[in-house]
Amino acid sequence: MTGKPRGDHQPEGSPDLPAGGSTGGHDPNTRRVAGHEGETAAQATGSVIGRLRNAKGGGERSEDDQPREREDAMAGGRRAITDGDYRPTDSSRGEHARGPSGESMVGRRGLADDVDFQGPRPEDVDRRRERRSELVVFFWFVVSIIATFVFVIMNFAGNSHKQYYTPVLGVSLAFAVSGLGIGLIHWAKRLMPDEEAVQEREPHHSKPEELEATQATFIKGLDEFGFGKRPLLRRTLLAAGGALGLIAVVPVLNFGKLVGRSHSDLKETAWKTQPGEPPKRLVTQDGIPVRLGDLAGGALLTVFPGELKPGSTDEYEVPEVQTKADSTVILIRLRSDQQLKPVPGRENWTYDNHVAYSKICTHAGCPVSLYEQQTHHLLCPCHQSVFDVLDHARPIFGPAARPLPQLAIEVDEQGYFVARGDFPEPVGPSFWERG
Amino acid sequence: MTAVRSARPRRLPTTFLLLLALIALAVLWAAFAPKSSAAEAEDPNLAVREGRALFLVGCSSCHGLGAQGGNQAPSLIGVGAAAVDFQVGTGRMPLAAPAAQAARKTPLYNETQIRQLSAYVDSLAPGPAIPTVNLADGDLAYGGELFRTNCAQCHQAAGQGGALTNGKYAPNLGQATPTQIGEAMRTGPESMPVFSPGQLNDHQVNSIAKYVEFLKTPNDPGGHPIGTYGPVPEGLVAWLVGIGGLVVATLWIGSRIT
Repeated sequence: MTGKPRGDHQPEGSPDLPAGGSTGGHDPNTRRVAGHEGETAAQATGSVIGRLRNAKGGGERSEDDQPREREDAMAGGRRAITDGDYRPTDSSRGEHARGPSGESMVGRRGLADDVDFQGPRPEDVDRRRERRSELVVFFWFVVSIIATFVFVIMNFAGNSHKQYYTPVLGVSLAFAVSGLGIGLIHWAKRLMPDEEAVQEREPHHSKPEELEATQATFIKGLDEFGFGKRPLLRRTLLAAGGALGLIAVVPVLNFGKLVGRSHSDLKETAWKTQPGEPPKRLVTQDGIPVRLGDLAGGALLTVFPGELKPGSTDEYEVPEVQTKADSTVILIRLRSDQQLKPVPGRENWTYDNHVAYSKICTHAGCPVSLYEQQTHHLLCPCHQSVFDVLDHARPIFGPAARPLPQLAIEVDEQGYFVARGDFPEPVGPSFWERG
Repeated sequence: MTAVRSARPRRLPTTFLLLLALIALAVLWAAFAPKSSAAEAEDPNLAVREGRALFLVGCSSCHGLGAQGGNQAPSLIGVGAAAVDFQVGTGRMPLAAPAAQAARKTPLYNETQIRQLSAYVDSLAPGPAIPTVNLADGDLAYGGELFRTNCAQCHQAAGQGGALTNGKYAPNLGQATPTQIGEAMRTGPESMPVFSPGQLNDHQVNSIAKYVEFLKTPNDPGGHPIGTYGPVPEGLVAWLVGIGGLVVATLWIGSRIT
């Protein structure tokens, strides 16, 4: 905001420092880390890679390796170590972490107390171990090659119907890819140079002058905005912002429109008949209508509302998949020694110990079809709700709270089971508008 | 006598005569002795009488002297030969101890005795006869469809069995013979519903039995089936072997050397 040219390499947070502060006048409270205050790019990146290169060059030190100021800046006597103090450790040459004066820093406390230096690896000091590690890498690469060939050959030559085919493909592909990976990782961990370096950071807070300068800039900016001086603009801005806030009322009202919907799709099933339509026959999944006598005592059958096949008068089919889901019904014939409990108002909803309930669990919608014919209980497999078939499918165990909706059935003149009408209530789990 | 054996024997040795007599006896016996199987085929009532004797000894203590049932056991009047052949043939009956459900075990009676027991109970009142399950008549794909619709909810999609309430269970179908499958469907043992011919005709029963037979030795084109139980063991392998392996690999990559 103060318009300093970008090429100055000035740190962003201190625009008011004198221009000459790039090379001199170090603040004793700062730690100098590569990349700040006027270092060139080459110097900035020289912290690791450049120094490694220099170290490999046989100990030549370029000028940016000269130790910078050493400052006992922190209370407590810890040395403030800058990047210039570090010699890169090239463990392939047997070096390890060294301090400012070249003393070994392995295991030394006080350099950076949280860092636990690893020290030289076995491969760094023992030529035999190094060769053994190379053999390990070689082994894994060979495994990868062999596995790749196995995979390619098996894919074309193998019989995909046999049991060995897929496992061999999987294992060989796994070894082909992971062999390469394991080899590479082992190479990197054991054979590549191992450097350990610690880079200190500046304390992360701004100087007081910087804070004041920022604050002043903000206030100046607000002032320049001119709210106080231009009342017309101020008022119209407020009016425009307020008007825009009114937009929030639109989604709220849209949701309100949903509240009053009829939800007929949730309250009706495919069992519903239009006025004038004959009652729907109960048909099996193959479209065969169910007759009285087909079921023995203690039987359970899954049925659907039968739709006449187009162009036929006696062949039925089940509704299409989209509508089938809500109209699945279980037809149960109780054993002759079991009697349905009469429900007031539903005396003619059953026929000759046959009773029909919705198959969709009133808990979470799973199909309830585990029928224990001796105990006349229906078990839902998902969360183990148990419904008593004799007692209008009342839940006697489990998380279901409502009985399964009952479908009123009777037998027509030809002996086929038909439904008297739709369910008296919505099927399936509870929903908000169920009421 | 300490007679020296002459070159020409005066009479045949005793052992040889005895052997000849034995062989003659065996031949005569085989020819003229009453054949038990032929007698039973000619006299079905023998099976009923033998069955009744077996019933009184081994079954009447729970099922009653007239098979009328009681507090401990249901009535067997009208259950048919299929039910007896199933229950006794799979070893479920005689019940070893009261439990939530009778479990399959080694049958106590041999095939003849089971046949006799079935004949006796069948004579009490008409009931489902032992079905003839013909696997050649079955359609494998159709049987799979029927199995998934009617059987898989209790017996699991691959017939490994599943739990019911209060300690009851739908058993694993791996040991069931096709005839036993047909018998179970027609008689509805214990908690199992009854699938009468009006609900599933013989061709459908054959198809289901063929599919169950197939489930015993499926192709397993994906490799090891892990018990064909589905997502639970597969998830266990994925978590333990797959994700565990990934965790181990990650730990190894980041591990220190010294």
